[in-house]
Amino acid sequence: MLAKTESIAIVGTEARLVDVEVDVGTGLPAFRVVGLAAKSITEAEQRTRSALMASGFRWPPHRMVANLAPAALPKEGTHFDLPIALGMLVGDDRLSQEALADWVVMGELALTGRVRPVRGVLAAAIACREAGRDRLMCPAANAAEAAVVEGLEVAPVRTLAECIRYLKGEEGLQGIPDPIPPAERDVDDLREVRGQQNAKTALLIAAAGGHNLLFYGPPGAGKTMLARRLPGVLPEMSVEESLEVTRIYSVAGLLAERASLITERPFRTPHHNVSMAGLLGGGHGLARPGEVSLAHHGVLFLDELPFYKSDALEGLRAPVEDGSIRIARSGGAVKFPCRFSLVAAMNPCPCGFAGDQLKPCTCSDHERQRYGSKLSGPLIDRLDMQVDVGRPSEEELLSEPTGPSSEEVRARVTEARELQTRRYGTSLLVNGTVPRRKLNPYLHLTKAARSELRSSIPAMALSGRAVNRILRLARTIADLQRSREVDGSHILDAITLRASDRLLEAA
Amino acid sequence: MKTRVITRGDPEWPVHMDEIGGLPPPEQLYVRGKPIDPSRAAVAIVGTRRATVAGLDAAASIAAAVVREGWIVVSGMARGIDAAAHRAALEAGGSTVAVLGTGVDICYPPRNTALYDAIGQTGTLISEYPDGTPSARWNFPRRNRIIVGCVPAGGPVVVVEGGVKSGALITARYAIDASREVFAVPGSYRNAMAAGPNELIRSGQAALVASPDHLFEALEVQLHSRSVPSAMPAVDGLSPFQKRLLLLMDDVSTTPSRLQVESGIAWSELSPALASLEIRGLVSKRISGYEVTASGARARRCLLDAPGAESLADPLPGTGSSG
Repeated sequence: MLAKTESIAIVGTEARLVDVEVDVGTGLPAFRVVGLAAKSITEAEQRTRSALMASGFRWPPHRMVANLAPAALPKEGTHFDLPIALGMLVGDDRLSQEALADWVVMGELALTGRVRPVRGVLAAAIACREAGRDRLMCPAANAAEAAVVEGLEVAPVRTLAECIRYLKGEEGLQGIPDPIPPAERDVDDLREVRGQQNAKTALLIAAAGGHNLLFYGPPGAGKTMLARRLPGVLPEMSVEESLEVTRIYSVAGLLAERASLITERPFRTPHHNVSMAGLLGGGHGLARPGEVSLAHHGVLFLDELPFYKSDALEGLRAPVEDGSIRIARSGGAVKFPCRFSLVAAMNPCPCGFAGDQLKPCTCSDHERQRYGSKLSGPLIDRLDMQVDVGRPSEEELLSEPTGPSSEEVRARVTEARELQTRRYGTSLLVNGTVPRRKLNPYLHLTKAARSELRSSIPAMALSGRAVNRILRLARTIADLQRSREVDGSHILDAITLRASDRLLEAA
Repeated sequence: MKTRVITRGDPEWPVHMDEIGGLPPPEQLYVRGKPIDPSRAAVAIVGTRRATVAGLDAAASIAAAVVREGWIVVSGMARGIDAAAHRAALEAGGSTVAVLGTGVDICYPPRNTALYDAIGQTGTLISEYPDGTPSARWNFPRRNRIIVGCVPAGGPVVVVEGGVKSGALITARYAIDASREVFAVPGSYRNAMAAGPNELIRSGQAALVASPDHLFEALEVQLHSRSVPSAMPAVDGLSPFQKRLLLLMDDVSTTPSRLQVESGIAWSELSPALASLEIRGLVSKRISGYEVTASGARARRCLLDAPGAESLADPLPGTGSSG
């Protein structure tokens, strides 16, 4: 007899509805899965067999075929265990087809019959709502994730036996377990950073205008500490942004059990030996999101920039520019969003002590040259600000925290961002990334600004790219001061903070 | 270009090559470019590859000045000081000799290809190693004695920048042993690359050169040309704070955070002042911090000579280290 259930397949960060047809028919006992199923799905045979028997059912002694349609769409994941098991029970006349009606089902089976959490439940819930399905059965551990989507009936199941009793109408399910609130993160407040006025100013500007920045300074000066405080000064995420971020973490399988929406902006700091696939996304079959996508709407921090592999750095160029990345793998191409703020950090030389007052540098010329040469290439052009982070003085280290708190800075950033949203008509465009033709009508350069620029171009031998960078930074600085015009002082501040064209020659 | 082999007795043979102290003179030299004129006065300018802007500036101005007197500039075509000296000599229309540590058919370091070609055209490339000899680190100290040998006995060898164990100091020692006159350009105590020349001066082994004129005076040279005084940068337009900032910077690059600590001025005031100095071309922003440019160095000199320079170092009234 033919049974039919519905489940989903994950493609990128999207879920697509998939029919799971199970035919229990005559022939020698056997089980096959067709429909471009990855190994994780074909192995369902062993799991469903033990789970069915552990739950008091028999393994139907028939020839069984599970077809995952559309058959041409590559599929992977362990969440097909539960729909396949239910299909077998219907095919074996243990459950009525009507009982399964309208349910989209996902869940991995343990050999004991327990239903284990799976990845991509939020994406599945969104897909259900978009397709007009209103009932989703998923592992209880993932139910909080699904419950984020309104107007969806979520059935949180813990075991296969419980699931069947529920479908037969014999008993109800326990409610959705309360989401575990994310562990209270240590609040990284900007006030805790002593001194570093220029770096704090740069963080404010980076957050307000979406500019990428490079911290440069000796080890222990506080580059990482500063970078960690960027998410805290960015505006709060909107519900849509939260949904997008949670969805990425959900399909990546990185959402904690019983977690609900992610509301804090992500801060990702991949180690410098990260592979290209790890950084940008990849894997076999269908690609999974990489660090750039996990940093979506948050901050990607590359500490010790020159130690990263050249190909990985080169590969960052397009995502930084486009805000999304398309990855083709054998199973097809997928697109992941990746709109993040980039913060890079580096030491003056491999040992870190070049130009230091306390310790001598121990690097050879060759080492220093190689270190510096990594700074070439298109990624460096995307770094708008170059900020020197010096070791704080003893006085500063021992002083009481001063300066604005993260909360105060965030208020200023939010205000500047709102200004830009009104100006560009979308919250996706900021001064750092808006196309020049859209920025130009809003530059409003005063006479003083023009004259500063005019004298700086020949005196400093500025390239077109450098001028572009200065104008964008100056616009953000003016926005932070609620100034309609970009004045000379804004241009001067932008000149000091800009990443110099001579990054390459140095180090 | 073809490589010529010259030996002792050749009209081109640098006759001073046999007076290089206790070191063995080369048996033959491999030469490309213009013939060497052993009768012409020559000066060797050597220094570190990791030069500061100030060091490069010093090498270039000395090279340009001696070339105006018709002298030949001898150096080793390494990055940094060597390259700056060769370049300045060529730009001033003079002649220059590059003594290589590889075969003369090889350009090492490769990034100096343009310079190598230019020297091959209007100057001379020489080496004691046959064509095809690749770079090997032990060849470079040995070639330093040939640099010394290109300068007549009693002639000048100028050390611009270098650490106390640098190749430039090896050259200086060869030069002293071979009774050449050693000169050294002093630098700030903060500048690690000035340690070598400063030590040479301190120990009395070298004479101090802070201007090309010091070199000519010491050698009692009658100048053919008047040295052209470079245009004085306008320092009148600088605010007291900008003047003070300029005086806080020296040969090595100074980071903004250091300037902030030393000046005790809030970033909001420091930032526009730095940008103004940069727009005037007095300082230049590099990744490691701000460096004083050649005209910035002249401006500093102006400021220090001006009456009331002392007061510039005092804290400014009305500015505290406010956030």
